[in-house]
Amino acid sequence: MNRNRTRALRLTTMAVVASGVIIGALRNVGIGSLSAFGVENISAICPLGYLETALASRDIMPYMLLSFLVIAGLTVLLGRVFCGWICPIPLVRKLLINEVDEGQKAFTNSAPNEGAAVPVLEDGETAKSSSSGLLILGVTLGSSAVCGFPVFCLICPIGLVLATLFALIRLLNFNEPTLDLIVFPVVIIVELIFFKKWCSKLCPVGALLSIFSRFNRSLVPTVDRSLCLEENCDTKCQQCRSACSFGVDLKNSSGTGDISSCTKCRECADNCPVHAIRFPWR
Amino acid sequence: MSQHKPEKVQSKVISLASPSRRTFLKITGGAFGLLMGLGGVGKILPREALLRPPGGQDDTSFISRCLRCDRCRSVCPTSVIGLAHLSDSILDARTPVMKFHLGYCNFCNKCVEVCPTQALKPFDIKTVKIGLATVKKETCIAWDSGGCMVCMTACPYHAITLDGQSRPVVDSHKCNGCGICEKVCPSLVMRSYAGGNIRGIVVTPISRRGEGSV
Repeated sequence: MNRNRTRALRLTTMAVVASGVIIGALRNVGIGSLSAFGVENISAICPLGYLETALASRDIMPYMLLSFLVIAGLTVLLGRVFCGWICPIPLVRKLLINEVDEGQKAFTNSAPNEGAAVPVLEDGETAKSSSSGLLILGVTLGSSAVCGFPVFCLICPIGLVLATLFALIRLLNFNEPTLDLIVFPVVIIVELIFFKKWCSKLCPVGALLSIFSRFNRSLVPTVDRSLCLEENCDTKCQQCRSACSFGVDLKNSSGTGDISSCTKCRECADNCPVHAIRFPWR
Repeated sequence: MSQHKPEKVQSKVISLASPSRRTFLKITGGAFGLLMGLGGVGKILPREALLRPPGGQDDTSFISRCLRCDRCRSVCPTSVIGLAHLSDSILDARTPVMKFHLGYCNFCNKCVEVCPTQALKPFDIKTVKIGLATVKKETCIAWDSGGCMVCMTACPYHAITLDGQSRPVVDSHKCNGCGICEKVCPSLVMRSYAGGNIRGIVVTPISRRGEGSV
């Protein structure tokens, strides 16, 4: 599949999901947003939101635990498909800076600021970077438990993107001008532009999903080593590694751990010059 | 990793451990500072009581559970549920509040049904109180020129009566804050006050009754 076609397809699914939420909000059908959506009393809940509220209210909420487990199960089955295909953030990034994914390039640029000359694709580095999300996940949950309300929800870019749109709807429908319409976009811009590696390094939702996707065995990209240029022609191709925003190294990992952050975006397969990388579909 | 490091960088970070660990600490510290700071500021800043949908009157429980998912607002058949803003407080932004100039509550229970986290809890229709209707002397038509009894006739709970001078009086035991009086109050239309939500009778949160009330 052509690289631009996959990206267009991903942006389309994100736009379809986002517009579904907006149409639902406009027509007042009660489907909610990505924090919790559903019909009647059945809700699919944001797994991070569930953990935060469960800790903040000291209540397991059995119904929502079920919903949480379903989401966890889906992530085990499909991996972090949410991050690559549903979450509106890559779409927003595309609109803001015309880039869908974070890419490795952004990482090399920011590396000197850290005052360290760490090679971009050092094994230890990728392992650590995926756990920085886990740390933030821990801090997120801890802060909710201590403060007694879901703190991260206040600045979650996914929630804020939809909240901005909701605020816009309120402005147009009920003439309710608010500060929110300025502050929410500013927070989103700060998160996505000043923290270029939001999705791969900082986002606690992604970190939580990658805990479950550790057990994901389907939809995993595989390298056909008989075609790979690095194996056959002794070149330092590295195209697949540099294309991956999440620093997944397909050639070295044995298929677990590191691969848990794969969002099924197909960038590696589409960037491979000899089409040696395959996903189970196509 | 450390052997490849240039001399200069090494001397700079030697007291702080390896650079990746330093980034690590920076990220954790930053996130910790930011989230705890935000949480602390949110808790410390003064918050005014807001009119929540029925079942959301216990503020501590409400704020600990509300995900700001928009389901209750969207499902409300009378469109009375609106959204609080940052100007209400950081903590309340995006949470549902009752906008009685747009609608009233018929206690249909739909918002409670769709709330995923029970921020809105099942309520007893006999005892639930969203707020208390309060007559505003300075804007009420009956207080000013007399003759208006729109709110009294609209109240389904017979909580509004007229006093000796035909001015509305709210029975705080019967009023459950459904807001239909505020919805139908013609004060804005008849008196052309500035702003779209000025009424002669408004529902105020139970814990904090408005100034100039009767």
